[in-house]
Amino acid sequence: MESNPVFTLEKASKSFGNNFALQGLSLTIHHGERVAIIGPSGAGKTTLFRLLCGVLHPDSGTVNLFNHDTKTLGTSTLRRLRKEVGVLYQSDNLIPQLRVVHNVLMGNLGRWALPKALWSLLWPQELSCAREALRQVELEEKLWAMPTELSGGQQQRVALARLLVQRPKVVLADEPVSQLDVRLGREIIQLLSRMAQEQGNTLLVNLHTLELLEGHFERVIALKEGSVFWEGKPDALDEPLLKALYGKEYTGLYAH
Amino acid sequence: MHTKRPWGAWAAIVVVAVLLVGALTAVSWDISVLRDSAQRSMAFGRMGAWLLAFASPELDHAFLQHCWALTLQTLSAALLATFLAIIAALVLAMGSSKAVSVGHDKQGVLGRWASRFTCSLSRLIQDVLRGVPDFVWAVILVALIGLGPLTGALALALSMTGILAKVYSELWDSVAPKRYEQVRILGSGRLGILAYGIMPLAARSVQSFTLVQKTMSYCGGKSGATTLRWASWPLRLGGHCGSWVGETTPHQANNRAIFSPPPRNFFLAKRGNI
Repeated sequence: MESNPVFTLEKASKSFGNNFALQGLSLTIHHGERVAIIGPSGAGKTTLFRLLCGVLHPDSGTVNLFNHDTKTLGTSTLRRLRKEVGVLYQSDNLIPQLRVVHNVLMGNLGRWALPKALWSLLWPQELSCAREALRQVELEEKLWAMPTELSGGQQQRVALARLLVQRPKVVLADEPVSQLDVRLGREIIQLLSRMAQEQGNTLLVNLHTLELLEGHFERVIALKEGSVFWEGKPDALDEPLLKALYGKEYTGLYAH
Repeated sequence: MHTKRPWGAWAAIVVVAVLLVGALTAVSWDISVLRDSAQRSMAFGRMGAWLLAFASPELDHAFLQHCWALTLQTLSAALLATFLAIIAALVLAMGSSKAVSVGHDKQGVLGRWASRFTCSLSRLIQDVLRGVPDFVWAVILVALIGLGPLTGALALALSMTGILAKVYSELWDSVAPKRYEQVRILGSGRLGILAYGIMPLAARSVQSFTLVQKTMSYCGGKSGATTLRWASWPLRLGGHCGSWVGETTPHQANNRAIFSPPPRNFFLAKRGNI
């Protein structure tokens, strides 16, 4: 299992204008791992995630996804690989103008042929599959609701239901709970972690709330100023380390 | 690096002001009609006569029936035109929208070339459709399929397609790519991204603009039909009373009719001719 890397980054750098988001970052994520990425804001966490799913390409160095260099991938291979990567953002996870049922069934877009996808917008296809996914996130009764009628936590759960339909091999969650309160955030992280365990998936979560680390992750990677600052087991994190990592942000982090 | 005060907006204001002054001085504005009291009273007299003519509408049963039939004709032509234009504009907009035809993912040399070409070609077609006025389309179509509501509908549909395709593609391109990245990331193709991401996100503005355009097409249907009638009147009459056509150009005939109030039964008589 350990010999099967899902992501390999080698000295990857990415800058936006004059600002370096990532500087010579190297790391490997293996199949089936559950990894949390932490670090202060501006450390390059979101950029890292966008590199991993092939939306951005590094300026130098390489990003390998299932042993393919994302920079040299053709459109069709990229599409095939993207099906295997599920992404959860902190916001913009749903299309607000489409009903929950379409937002959930969207998980099938990588598999469905275009005519079926278009027809599904008029007459939802594989409805039972959407029902089952929503049942797992306890939102079965919201099948025909508009996303704008749901609370923030419910919207994130609908996005999770889409991931259940998509059945990706890897789930990347970019601060999925930063806009929720701690209790709802814990629920979402629990769901993500349970999903990953049940399906034997790789899970990468970018976290801002450190209380949610316990019990759900096998490895923690701390980023600072665009490179790896520390890497290890979650229980090895201690106060001096976090203070060094977060600097001024540290006090704010534990204020609430 | 944001220490310098930006002057861009002021530069734009100055440019607009210069253009406005230039436009005002480039043309000689003739308002002598309003200055001269004799001409002014004539002008107001004409206006009053028009308004008076409106005050006593023709409510004759035959005329009303005729109007009703023409209204139905106009409505159905406008509805058909709108329907055809929306379908054609959606297809054309897919070509001319950069977010759809070019997309955000890297392509090979051939693919890049093909998609750029599609985009430019669609934009050219859309500009031609928009640039040619609807009555010119009508004249061309009359030559092709003859007079009738269908001609009007098709002429309207052609120019509407140009306008709608332009607006649809601009609205689609203005949706922030970050908002539909969630659909892109699912491994969907560009048309899938359009149907599940871009189109729903732009739906509000697309809908309201289409409704405005539909209203305009109903008015356009009316004026388009009138244009057709005016254009065709001398043509039709040409056979019967060539002397009249020889005496006045349609343009002069138009002016005469506009400046003096219509005689009673004017519209009924004329429409009867067509």
